[in-house]
Amino acid sequence: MNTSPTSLPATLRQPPLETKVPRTLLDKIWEQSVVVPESEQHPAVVFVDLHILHEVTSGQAFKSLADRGLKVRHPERTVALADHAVPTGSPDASGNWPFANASTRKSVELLEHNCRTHGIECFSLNDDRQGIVHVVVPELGLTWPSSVIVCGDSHTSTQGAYGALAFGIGSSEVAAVLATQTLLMKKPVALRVELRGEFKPQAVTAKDISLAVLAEIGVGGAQGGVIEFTGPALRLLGMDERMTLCNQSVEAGARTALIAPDEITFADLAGRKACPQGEEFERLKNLWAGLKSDENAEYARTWIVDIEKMTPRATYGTLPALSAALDESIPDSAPAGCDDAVWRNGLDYMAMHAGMRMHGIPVQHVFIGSCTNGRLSDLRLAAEVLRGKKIAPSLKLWVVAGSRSVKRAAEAEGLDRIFRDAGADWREPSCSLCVAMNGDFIPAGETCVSTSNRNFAHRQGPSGRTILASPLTAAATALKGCLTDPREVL
Amino acid sequence: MTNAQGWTHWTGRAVVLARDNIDTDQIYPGRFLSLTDRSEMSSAFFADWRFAADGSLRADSPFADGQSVLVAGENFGCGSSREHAVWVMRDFGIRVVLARSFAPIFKQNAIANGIAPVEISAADYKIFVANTQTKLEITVDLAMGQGLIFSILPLNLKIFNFKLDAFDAHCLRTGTDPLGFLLSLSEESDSFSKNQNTSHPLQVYFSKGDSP
Repeated sequence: MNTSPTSLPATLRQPPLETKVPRTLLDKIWEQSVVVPESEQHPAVVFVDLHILHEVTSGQAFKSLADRGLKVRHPERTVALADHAVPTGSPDASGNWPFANASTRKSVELLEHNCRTHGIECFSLNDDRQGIVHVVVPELGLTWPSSVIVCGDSHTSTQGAYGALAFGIGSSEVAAVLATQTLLMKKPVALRVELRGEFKPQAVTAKDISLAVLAEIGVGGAQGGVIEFTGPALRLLGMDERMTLCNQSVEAGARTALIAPDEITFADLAGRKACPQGEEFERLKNLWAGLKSDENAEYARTWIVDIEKMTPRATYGTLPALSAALDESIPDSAPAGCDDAVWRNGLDYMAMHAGMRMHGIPVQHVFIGSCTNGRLSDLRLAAEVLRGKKIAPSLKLWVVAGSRSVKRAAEAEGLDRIFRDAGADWREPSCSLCVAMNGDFIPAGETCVSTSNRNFAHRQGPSGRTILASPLTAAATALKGCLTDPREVL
Repeated sequence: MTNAQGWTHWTGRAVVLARDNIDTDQIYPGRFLSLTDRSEMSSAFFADWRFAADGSLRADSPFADGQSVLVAGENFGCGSSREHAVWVMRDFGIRVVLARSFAPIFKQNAIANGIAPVEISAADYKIFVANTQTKLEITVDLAMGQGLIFSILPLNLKIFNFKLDAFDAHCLRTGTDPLGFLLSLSEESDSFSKNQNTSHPLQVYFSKGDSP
């Protein structure tokens, strides 16, 4: 057809005004997921593509459905895993798992029962796909770019690394998603963290970058927003590292984080079982490749973080945003945006003080694992430090793979031998010491360097103390028996 | 977990926790997360603030019977999404939280359980912080978006304004619960899900059988 522009209907001659407005990645996912737009009467109704359940936050939701006589609307869009209450000890000869108590056992059995009743696939203790939700789901290839993914777990943000809008919800919302596959939600504000830099300095991992980003934003600085990570330094980060970054974004108050899918994302997805192959994958890839923020798209706020000058970091207070470089001292005053009382209480709780050198702080426990740093690449980093060496006799080191699949892969590479020979305890996959509800805990007054995500007071056990750090720093600390800059042992 | 009854006015005694960033691990410590029966959870409420290691009451606990309004600083309810924090808060008797700001998931959980998450100004928060030892009585009016701080000794009366989203206020006042509202829109959701033109990752996954 050879139609001149003037003969087109008036509405087609000029694109509608809104198409000219540059859109963010968040805008694009949001627009294709909204069932009923936000109005003066109610927030938007958002369709959920994938709903993930675990034993801690789903029990009351299923009870709520039962009380109201409701069914699960889309069991085929729902998957369940046991992770929080799962023991890290090995099963006995007859296959019985060493649950810490009757209630942890009951919570896992209840999850299995609810899933059977409602026809939901559940990877529990008798399944070799079991592991931490945010490790297993991407591992199977279930985390598709542009999907809306929810789970009754704040660290669902981990999966934003694939360009999925993935976030945590409460149990009432879990019930709503079970019954309707939708959520009521106001559109979160778009924020941006631009990561600059052409190289990663020695011993700087995604965890160190994450702690530096949190220190920059502050503990509540991103409250309710969705952080999009952008910038040239993303090219230096593989999917595991991107997941570490997105995982910790919630510790800045963000609802979740996003990274636009790129060649690194597609290469990761290509071999995974839940990803189609051949033409269908090419078709999806083309769709997903368009999922990036337009040039000049507006963000409510942008932080620029340069990774080239970074050095390994660890936390010193009881908030993930309170961290310092390991070759520095604890600062003399609270950072901007942190209440002075919060800062001082945190130091008191940790038995630390302003001006104290980070390097050399006494440590009794080291935990390597969790949805933040429990993947194969994390275990490889730690094993590299520990290979052929022994941990300090004064200290206990636990290595807990994030999933059965991570554990099998690590064992196939001989990493378990390196850990065991060094004196570590090589345990079964679980959330373990990150949430400390399965019977694993840090005794009162003792300090743990942990690759997990939260150093809140009492988080790893009543009056237990937590220092967050990377797998490299954790391993170096295990060797020396005190908080140690990994560059000393590499 | 349903917000059975709506309410518009609430009057009660305040407990002032003059701290920012009170996380849900403080409100409901992780070691109680395996409890599956709501009736067993209550004693976990701020357990490490209220009880010593031997189970006795801590002398420095700010909590007392009869408190139903909790006052705190910025970013209240940050951290874990656990709704357990809100369940035990409600069991303790709290119906209003006055804070400088809230973590988003906590706020949703509060509304779903009939607890009003009310944002107050820095100036009004300062009044509370200066009076942590005073017995303060608070009245909150969700319709007006206003509250009243009342103390007997020293005699003091102060009106404060607060921010609460219109839909959230509606849910609290009418006892509307988001699940019921979403069920009323199930036709729209169903037609939306039918129009989705891609396969689903779980379907792809299970179509490949048990191969790795």
